[in-house]
Amino acid sequence: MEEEAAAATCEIARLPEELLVAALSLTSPRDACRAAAVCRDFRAAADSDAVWSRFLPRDLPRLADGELSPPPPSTKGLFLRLSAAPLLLPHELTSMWLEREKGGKCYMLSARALQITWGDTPRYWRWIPLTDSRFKEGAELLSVCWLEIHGKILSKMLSRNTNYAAYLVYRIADRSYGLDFPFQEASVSIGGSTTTRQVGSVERRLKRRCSHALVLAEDIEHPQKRSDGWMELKLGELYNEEGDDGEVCISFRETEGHWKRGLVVQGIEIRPKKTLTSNCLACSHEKPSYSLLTTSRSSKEEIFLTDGLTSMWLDMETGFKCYMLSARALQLANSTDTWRLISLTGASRFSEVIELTACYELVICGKIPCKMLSGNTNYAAYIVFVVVEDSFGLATILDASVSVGGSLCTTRQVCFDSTSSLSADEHFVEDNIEVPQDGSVILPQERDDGWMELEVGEFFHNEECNGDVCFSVLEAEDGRWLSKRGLVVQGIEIRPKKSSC
Amino acid sequence: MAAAAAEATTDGGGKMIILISADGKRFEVTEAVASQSQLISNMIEDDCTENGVRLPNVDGDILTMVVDYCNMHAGDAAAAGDTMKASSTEEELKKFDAELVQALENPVLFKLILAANFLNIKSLLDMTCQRVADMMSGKTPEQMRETFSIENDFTPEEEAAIRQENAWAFDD
Repeated sequence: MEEEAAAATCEIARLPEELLVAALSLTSPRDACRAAAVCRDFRAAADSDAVWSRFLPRDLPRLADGELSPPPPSTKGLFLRLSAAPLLLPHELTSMWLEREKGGKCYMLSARALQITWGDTPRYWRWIPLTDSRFKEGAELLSVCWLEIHGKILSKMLSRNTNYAAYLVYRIADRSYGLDFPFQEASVSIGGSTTTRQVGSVERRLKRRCSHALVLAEDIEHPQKRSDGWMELKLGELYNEEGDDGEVCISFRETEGHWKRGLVVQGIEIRPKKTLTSNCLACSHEKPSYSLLTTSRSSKEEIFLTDGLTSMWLDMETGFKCYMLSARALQLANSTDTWRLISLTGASRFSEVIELTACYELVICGKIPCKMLSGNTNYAAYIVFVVVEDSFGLATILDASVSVGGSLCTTRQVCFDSTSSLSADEHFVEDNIEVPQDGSVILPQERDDGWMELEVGEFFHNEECNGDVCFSVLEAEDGRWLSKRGLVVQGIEIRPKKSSC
Repeated sequence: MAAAAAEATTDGGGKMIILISADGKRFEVTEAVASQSQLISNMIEDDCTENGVRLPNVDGDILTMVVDYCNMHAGDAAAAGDTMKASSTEEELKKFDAELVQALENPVLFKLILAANFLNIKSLLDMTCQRVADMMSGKTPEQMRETFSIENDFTPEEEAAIRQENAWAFDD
């Protein structure tokens, strides 16, 4: 009995070390490191060169002289050294390291190893020394309207049968512009197949921060903050198959003629895609905050009209009907050139909102048939919007008016953002527009759903009313006709005016 | 009797081999089945299986499993042999293998590894080692000790030092 128990407890110890090694070789670097802390026999096997040479890639690239000095004392030491920090290859233009979980090979191509269009023209790009990188230099974009960067790596340098992702590693200099929008196009090709996607090197932020995190989460790739302080943006993914002996080509471009500035490129990184449990070097991202706001109105009964462009609910106090005309239901001047639709989920009651991308003359009009409203009450109409962080030109003073059945009810002056800068580049700012703060110009209010609202006007509705109620916001006659952008409109809300108390 | 068995032939005409376990149990298998063991394959080549092959390190219950495994896999190891036996599909083999190792108690699993190593049956050794690897992976040292009933023979200081050395493997 006693003998049996003893036999059972030392059963794995009966295995000769070579068999424990054989089993440990089939685990992972992490498991082997943990196994070393189990007992002496396990440690001897788990730290053995035989186990760790199975984890090391067979064909390690040659490193620059001195990168591995002093030489690591064991194969495990070598693996840990290679996975601890990037090491330079000869010529010091590319760095290499191992992803710890599986020993996959990772690379960063320095900016000098990339092909940057206009990169050697000091007016457009300049080379700056880097202190927080393995590379000596990075490339800073001074001013181009043709942004194009290409990188290449031989697929045989990468680990076989492995899913990789490629990232642009960069930061944004002070006084950058033009990098958030238009979005850039990124593509990755291997063995004749190319994938292309839209990416945004600057996350679009809203200018007014409110208690709610309202994020314009569009279906594009967003940058992530890295643990080393740089930003990274995923440019694409690739599967490196056995026997693929071509090149992997990676590109990043925006060449539609918009001026941009302030991108500081360290390089392009190629590393195996993270599996769910892994925790590899230099990719412990902060989680992006895509917790989208749901409107506080979701607690109320809200119905969507059959056109899908208008929603309706009843005012809690008065029981009168309220409406929101979606951005798509509005009339906008030159709508295709100056506005673009953004698909949003959750942040708005409608699936799409519109963003002003560039214009001089702002026109926003909407209307609703009188008979849809409730009788004998004072209504007000509000434009519901947000402003993105790098918007400009929105300090302009606009004329807002409301008419019922063709006769004018109210006209007033309004302004979307009295603190808006005049242009993207502070250089061009000669003077600032003074928006009167004395109430003569109506300014927006923050809503409890995180959006802003600007009161367009009021009107009295009675049951005999026929025709339409029309709302319009136009450039003032004596306005500055500023170039403007960055206004995101959800729609126009019409609700009973709260009696002032 | 052993000699008589060694003369026996199967329907397919292959020569039969007698394997004798440590506790004296006898197993009669075809050459094709037995030669999946590199050890026995070498003995067959050297013509020294006449009187049966004594396997003093392998118990009868373990040898039963080994023989079952080799019978099951004879098809893929010796495609030239009995084509009827080779009819077990790849799927059936996978299922058989999975059930074989999953069901094993630890002591039996280790004995089977030792037997596969001694008999030099690579596919069985790989499969059983993989089973041990699977039992280790994702576990903390404490869980590994529990799984394999191992006593911690480190001093607390030694263990702390090892954990320190491998710190990255312990942060989840």
